[in-house]
Amino acid sequence: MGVLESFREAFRSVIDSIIASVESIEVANLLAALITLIVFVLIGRVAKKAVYAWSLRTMPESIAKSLSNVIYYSIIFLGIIGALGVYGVSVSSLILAGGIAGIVIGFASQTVFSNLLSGLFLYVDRPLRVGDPVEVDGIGGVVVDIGVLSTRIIGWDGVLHRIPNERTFTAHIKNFSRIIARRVEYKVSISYQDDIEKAKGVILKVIEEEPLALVEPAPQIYVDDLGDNGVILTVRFWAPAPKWFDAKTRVLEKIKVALDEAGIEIPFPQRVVWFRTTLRTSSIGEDQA
Amino acid sequence: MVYGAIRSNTEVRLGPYIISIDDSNELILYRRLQGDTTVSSTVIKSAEPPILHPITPTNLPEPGLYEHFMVQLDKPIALDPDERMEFDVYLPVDLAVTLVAGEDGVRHIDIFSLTTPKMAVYGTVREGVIARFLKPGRPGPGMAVMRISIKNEHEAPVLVRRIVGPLRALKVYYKDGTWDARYSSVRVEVKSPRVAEVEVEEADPPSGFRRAPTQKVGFTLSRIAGVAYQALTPISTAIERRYTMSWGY
Repeated sequence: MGVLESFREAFRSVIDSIIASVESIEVANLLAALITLIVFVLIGRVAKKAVYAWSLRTMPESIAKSLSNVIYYSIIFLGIIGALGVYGVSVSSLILAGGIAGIVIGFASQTVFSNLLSGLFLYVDRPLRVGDPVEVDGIGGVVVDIGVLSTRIIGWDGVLHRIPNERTFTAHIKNFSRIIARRVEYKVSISYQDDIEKAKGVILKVIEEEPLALVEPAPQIYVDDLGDNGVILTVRFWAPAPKWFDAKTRVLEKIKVALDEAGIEIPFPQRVVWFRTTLRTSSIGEDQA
Repeated sequence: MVYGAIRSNTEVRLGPYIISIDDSNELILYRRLQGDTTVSSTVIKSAEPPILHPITPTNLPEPGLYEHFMVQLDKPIALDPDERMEFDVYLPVDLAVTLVAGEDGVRHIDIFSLTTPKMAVYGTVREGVIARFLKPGRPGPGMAVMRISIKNEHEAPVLVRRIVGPLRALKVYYKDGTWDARYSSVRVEVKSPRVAEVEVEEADPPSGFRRAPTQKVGFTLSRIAGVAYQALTPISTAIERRYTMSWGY
């Protein structure tokens, strides 16, 4: 073999050793990447179970399942990014592209995410629960569902209202179920000519004879204002919360009937009219000076 | 008319009502009238006549609204430390017209009260309870006697004005052919200036009395503003004999 042949053999062995060393690096990196991914998968599974168990305490199963799946796949995604980085793939461009895509998706679906987050906060804060009679931004009814994106209320008239969770969470919520009794209040006007004490007695008797009107807290009846048309009485009594509406509608009618029977007038609007000059009047068919 | 089986072809005034049983046809027509208005009526086909009897006041104005009773004493009772007092009070009791078939076959066809059934809050409107309000009165139809025993276990004198206890534990006993009725006895132990323990005692019917039949299972339809929004739910049948009065007495 000549010099050329020896040189070719030497060159080939160098190339082979370079290739071998490069290949060994890729195998090592591949192994490291796989281990990284496996670790993240294990972390994801543990986190998924923990989040599911925790959220089941305050949320329905469907929401708890969705939340735990979101956490799990988020960790898997991070694991994939990490594994690629360990393997040697440049992930900065991926992260950049992902970031831009995230911004675009975020702008496009900000309402959806806002409703989703508000739904989670509703479950944590619990200003209302399924079955509660409530009023949300003027919509009154009974809560029948608190979903991932919206809350459903059946209104007093039976109409179903769907309210996005973002609106529910930021709304002024009146919850009528968190107390055992609610106060009913009326303004009753009586004529200035009528006996106030007699009117109060009549109204009090109506309340005392109404089973839904509680003995305690005691009812109150007092003169609230001396109005343009009559004496304004404020009438207050308490009723069990679930029966508040029934009590309110029944008692007012009975008060009206009782006042009529007692000869106590609920006056119409009245005005006293003064004339600057003496008014000349005459009647048809009569001579008057 | 007194407690017991209601005779056929009866029309009797009972408080503000007239109770009428008409079995001139094959069927029995039960009616309760107030003035000219029929408040309740039921057609009955039964081998046995319906029974008029007192019943624990849990159903008026509606079942499911309260689980406790409140007795408001006419005069407060002052007790020195370690002193005990025992006394009887006559309290309103609801009346029921019931069909009974065997030991467990009980069906109330009408429940009413000779006085206006009232309720009261004990405690606060946020944390308290709604209780059936029982104001002492005179013996007669629609009233039952309750023996109350109060003991002061606090180190200072106490003043007791009212007693709140678990309603479902309260049993009613009556004597056929009379207007005599008794509640279970109630024992009160005053522990501190704000706290008293109330226990409804379990006992056999007094001699000559029988226990008022009670319909075993009740259901309530949850309504808001008169509209049902929740399906029938059973009224709790768990019997709790003790209650702790935490908001004073």
